[in-house]
Amino acid sequence: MFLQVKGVSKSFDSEVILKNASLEINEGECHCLIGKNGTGKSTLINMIINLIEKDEGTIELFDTDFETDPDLIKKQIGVLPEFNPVIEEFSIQDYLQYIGLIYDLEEEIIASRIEFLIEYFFEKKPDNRKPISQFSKGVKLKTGLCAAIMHKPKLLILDEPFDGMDVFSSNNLIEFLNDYRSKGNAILVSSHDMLFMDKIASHVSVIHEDELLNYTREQLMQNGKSFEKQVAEIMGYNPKEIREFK
Amino acid sequence: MSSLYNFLWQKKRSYLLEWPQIGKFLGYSANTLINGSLFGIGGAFLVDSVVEAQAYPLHLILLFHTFFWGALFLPLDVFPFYKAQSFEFPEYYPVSSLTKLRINLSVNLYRHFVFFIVLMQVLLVTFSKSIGWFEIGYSTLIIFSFYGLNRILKNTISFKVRHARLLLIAGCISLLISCFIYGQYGAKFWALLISMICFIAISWIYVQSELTKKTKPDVLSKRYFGGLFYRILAQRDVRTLLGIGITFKVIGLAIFSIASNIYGGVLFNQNFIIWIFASPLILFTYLGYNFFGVNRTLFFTHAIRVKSRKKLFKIYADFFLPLLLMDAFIFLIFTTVSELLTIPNIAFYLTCAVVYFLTAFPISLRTPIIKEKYLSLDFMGSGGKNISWTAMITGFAIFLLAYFAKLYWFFLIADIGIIALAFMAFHYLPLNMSLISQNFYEKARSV
Repeated sequence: MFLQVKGVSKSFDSEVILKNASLEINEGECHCLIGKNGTGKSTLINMIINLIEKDEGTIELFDTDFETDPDLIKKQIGVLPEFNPVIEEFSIQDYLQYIGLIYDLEEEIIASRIEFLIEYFFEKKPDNRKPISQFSKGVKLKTGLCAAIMHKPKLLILDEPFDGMDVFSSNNLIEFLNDYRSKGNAILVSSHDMLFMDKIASHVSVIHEDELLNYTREQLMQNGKSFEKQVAEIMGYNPKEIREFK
Repeated sequence: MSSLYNFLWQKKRSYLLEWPQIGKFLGYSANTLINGSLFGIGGAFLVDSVVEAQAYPLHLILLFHTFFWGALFLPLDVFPFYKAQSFEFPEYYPVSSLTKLRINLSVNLYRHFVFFIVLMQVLLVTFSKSIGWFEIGYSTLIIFSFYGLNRILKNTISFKVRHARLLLIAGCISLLISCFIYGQYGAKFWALLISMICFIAISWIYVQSELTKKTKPDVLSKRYFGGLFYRILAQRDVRTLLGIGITFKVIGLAIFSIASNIYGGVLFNQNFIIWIFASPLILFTYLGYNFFGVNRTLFFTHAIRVKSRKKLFKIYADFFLPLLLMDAFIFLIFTTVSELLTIPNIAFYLTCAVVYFLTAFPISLRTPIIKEKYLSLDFMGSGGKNISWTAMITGFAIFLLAYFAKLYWFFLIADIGIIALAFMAFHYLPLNMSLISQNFYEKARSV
């Protein structure tokens, strides 16, 4: 099992964010984490990657936890967190090289992976003399994404990877993720974009009123409704009527 | 992990040796060299002359010197100017604590301010007849103990550190013991030994904070403030700048008030340093002359909605007038306590306040310094060079010259002139908000 979240709860002051949340991710699965704004998607991801502490429950990655064997976990996960920690003074190539060195990759492997990732995710090769700070939000996001993939992790954790990315790049990412999980890896991805989630999800986890509800794609789609409608129903969404805007 | 370490070193070197960084680097190094020589050699002659005149004992002078430069270390790099100098490793990267420590100690070690302190101390002992190696060594140890506490402070503020409060308290206590021993028994060898033990303790605490630090995710529950004044004040950078500025001002003025009451007015009464502290200069440094640079989100929020300079001026005035009142209150207490409450002194203060208040607004709009973090006191490390700084210092120097030359009529002319100019500019020379917005956007984009 790649990830096992069992009975995890988290509160900030008196506000309960998650209550008794459980989740399992295995080889070849892509779990899409969906929820309204502020329901705790990033909080759950931050707890999984050990950025914030949980109040209750256990989180195990690759049958161990961050206390027992942090190195084993860190080498097998790739993360694009909410805050995308790119070093803005570096060029894109230098930053990816830096990430490769963090994971102790060989120079030749780093060079070939940088070439592959840039060729696949970027429209044209970025200027190596230009710092990341001078690129747009979308390019910074792609850089963070490449950094998460650089060392070919077994479990890829992406927090809002489509946020700020153009539709063509998003389609490329969808293709990449589907191919990546078919090769024995697993993915946990959070997003608001139902259209993209529909194209990658093997499992769906919905956060609704501080509870985490898990479904396989088959369970979700069994009554013939569209992906978006089914998720909206679980989240208790009713379209609002528009009154006159005075 | 040595390849990661080598890569960062190589990047650091190439970062510093490429244009325009090399220009900045050489500029700051030259600046440090000049300042170190000025303070070192000049300080040596000043100390010798004061000691020879038997005005103050050597230990008292060195005590003031040590605490002053030590205190300047405290805010340094709490908010780093150059992100390139601080490599952060989020928890999910497989980098060991020892590698992080090694990179932090080596790649981020060089600071112009450290170089400045060492150079100044070496020149001080070389050129002074009254200061020996023992005294200068002890003084340097105390100054670097302050730096040690600064490193602990930086870690506990910027990161999640295990037992942060405990480590900080332990660091403060070690420094206090060291300072107390230095102040009371500074000439004795055993005192130096105790201070060395305290320095080792501070270094150990720093290493502990470095080994256990973790990335701090955004705090999800922040207190929300009602009025605009408090909302601006709630920003961490603004609060820090103001806190540091006002603390220095109050400490500086308190020292001068006590000294002038104890020793009489000869040395302290009409010193230009007093007027730097007493005037609203510190209040306007960066925060005033770079008001919209520091508050750029506030600027954009208004600039893209209303193209009215009056509304922007109102925001600026709403924030600065209460601060000016507070500053004036500190000035009033200082002048009353030190019996300096005279009409020329009040005129000097008011002129500075009027001129800075009215000129800071257009300058902060036209030449904002947009950086990720602000720290005006990091003058030896990097600093932001722009015309606002030069304008402010030049203006202040002219007022001081007029004050010392007793040309008090100049204040009246400056007041009337600036008010008239501001009034005319406001009504007849409208600011081109589109150009200003574009300028802001371009600068913000290249942060």
